[in-house]
Amino acid sequence: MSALPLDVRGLSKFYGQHRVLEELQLQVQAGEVVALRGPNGSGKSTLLGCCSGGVIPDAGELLITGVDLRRQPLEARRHMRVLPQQSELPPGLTGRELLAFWAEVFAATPADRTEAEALGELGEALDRLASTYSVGMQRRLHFGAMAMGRAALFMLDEPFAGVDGAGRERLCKWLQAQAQAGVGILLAAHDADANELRALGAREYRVGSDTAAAPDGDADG
Amino acid sequence: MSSLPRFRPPQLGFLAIVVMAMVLGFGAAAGADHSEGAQRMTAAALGPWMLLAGLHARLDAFLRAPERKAWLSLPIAPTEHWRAAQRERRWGLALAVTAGLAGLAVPALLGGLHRPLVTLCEFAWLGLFAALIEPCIPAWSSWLGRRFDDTAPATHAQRALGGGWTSPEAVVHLYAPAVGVLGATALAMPGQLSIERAFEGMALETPHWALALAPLAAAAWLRVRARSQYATGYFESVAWLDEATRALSGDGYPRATPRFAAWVKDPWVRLQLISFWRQTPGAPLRVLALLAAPWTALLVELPLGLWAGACVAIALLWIEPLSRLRELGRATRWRRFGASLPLASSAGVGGAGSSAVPRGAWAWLAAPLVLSLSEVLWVWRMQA
Repeated sequence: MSALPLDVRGLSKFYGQHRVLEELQLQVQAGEVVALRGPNGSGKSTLLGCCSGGVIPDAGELLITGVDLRRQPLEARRHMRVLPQQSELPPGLTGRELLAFWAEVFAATPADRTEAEALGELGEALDRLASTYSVGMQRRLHFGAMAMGRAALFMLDEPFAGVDGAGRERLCKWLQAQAQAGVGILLAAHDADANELRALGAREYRVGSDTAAAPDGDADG
Repeated sequence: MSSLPRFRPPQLGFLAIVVMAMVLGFGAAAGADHSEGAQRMTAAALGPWMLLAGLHARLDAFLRAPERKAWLSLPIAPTEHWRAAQRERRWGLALAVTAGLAGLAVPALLGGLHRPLVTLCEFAWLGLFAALIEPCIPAWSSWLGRRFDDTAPATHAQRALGGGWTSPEAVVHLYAPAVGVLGATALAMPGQLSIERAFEGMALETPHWALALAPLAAAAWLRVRARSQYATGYFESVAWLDEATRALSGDGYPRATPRFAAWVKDPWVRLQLISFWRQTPGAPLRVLALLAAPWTALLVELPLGLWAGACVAIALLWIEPLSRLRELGRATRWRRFGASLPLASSAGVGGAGSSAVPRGAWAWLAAPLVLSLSEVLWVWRMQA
């Protein structure tokens, strides 16, 4: 098994005639933080989508800790944690119930759950319906999911968007700790996140230069 | 893991099922006005429609529901997704078959059917095949809703059948429901003939048993394979379907503003109407069908029962999107949006339990239904 948390080989993705990604190569080492940079519509979110299994590439290989994402989708997913750009949470469930769900899915230990609750810092709000959370709170709940179980790769789509200053600092420290523990981190970020990226020692990876957006209407992606 | 939570309440298409049950009952009773053969034909023709009622809602949870996409990156075995979706589908189909039987039982009890037991047994037999074949629809969609090698026969089929309407990987979603319902109907047919023969007092020979049971075995075999087919394609077909859905939703430029919007003075009502119009596929056609149905039915001289059933079914084309509008009105996001605006019609919109959809919008949208109902009453009087 490859030691690389993420190994992208010759990845291409087209939306109709529009080329979003072509022959893209990207490796994320254990403990490395890679920041995807590029203008709006350059394909950052598409690349993250391909790496997280939400978008099927037209060509190329994607290995998560050496496991092919398309051939062994279930096994590959056990090694990765994904923070989507927009939280989509089921209605009618509390934050605590959702954390319990993620804990079950990722075979998390009780210690992980405690860490997840601490990371989210949602306190009593955990017992409220997650659909009533603010954007920042939903984001923090998702961070909690990242702390569940043992992951080799984190993929975060604009992780600092909608998070307040204190939350950014806490998240940054936690990500640093995860990287030091050997987790590879791939994230899409903007110029506004420059301080956090510096603190994480992120390697910059430029994605495309096209300005046409993918048909998902993802203006950032 | 025992269960996966739902993002939204199950959409079983209750209304569609109830209405189709009414149509089935009315239709069968209307056929009875003529002859036993005509009655049997009507019931047999309406049976598959009964299975189609609510089918989309029953199968939604397999590949389309938002949680499938949202949890695609989680290591959840496809069989868990299958199990979660199956719960909803089974319940919905049970409701459809029960409603169909009830729809036939009412005219039977009122003496409107020639040989009610035969008709009921034949419909129940069709329901059995639907129970076996229906899960195959999402299974085929998952299995074939992905990309194959360029030279694979599946790829050729995807390209040939697409007709440019959607991406090749999503083509199967256009055909699988029809193939499933028609397949269940075709497979059930020999058995229905054997049932008829048995009720007529004729002996069932080996070929009759074979003709009834061989399709049953075939359907059971398809059903057994369904779960693994779904699991095989799950991780890719959900992503492809999502991509196709987004591509079909267009380039972000909306349809032109409907002309009637200019007649609406209140900007909040106008906004709601435009939003509703754009989010309702084929809205002008629905209105046209609603207004034309009573007269068309009169021209083709449909039996009264079938005519009434058809009118109610067509009314559903408009009632269904209206029910979605009601949900929208309850959405907190809309209420907050409306409450902060200095509009007379938005007064009280932000309060708990209030609706973001103002009464003026409801009045506008109810107008086609009221008009259609007036036409129905007019036609009814003319026929009387």
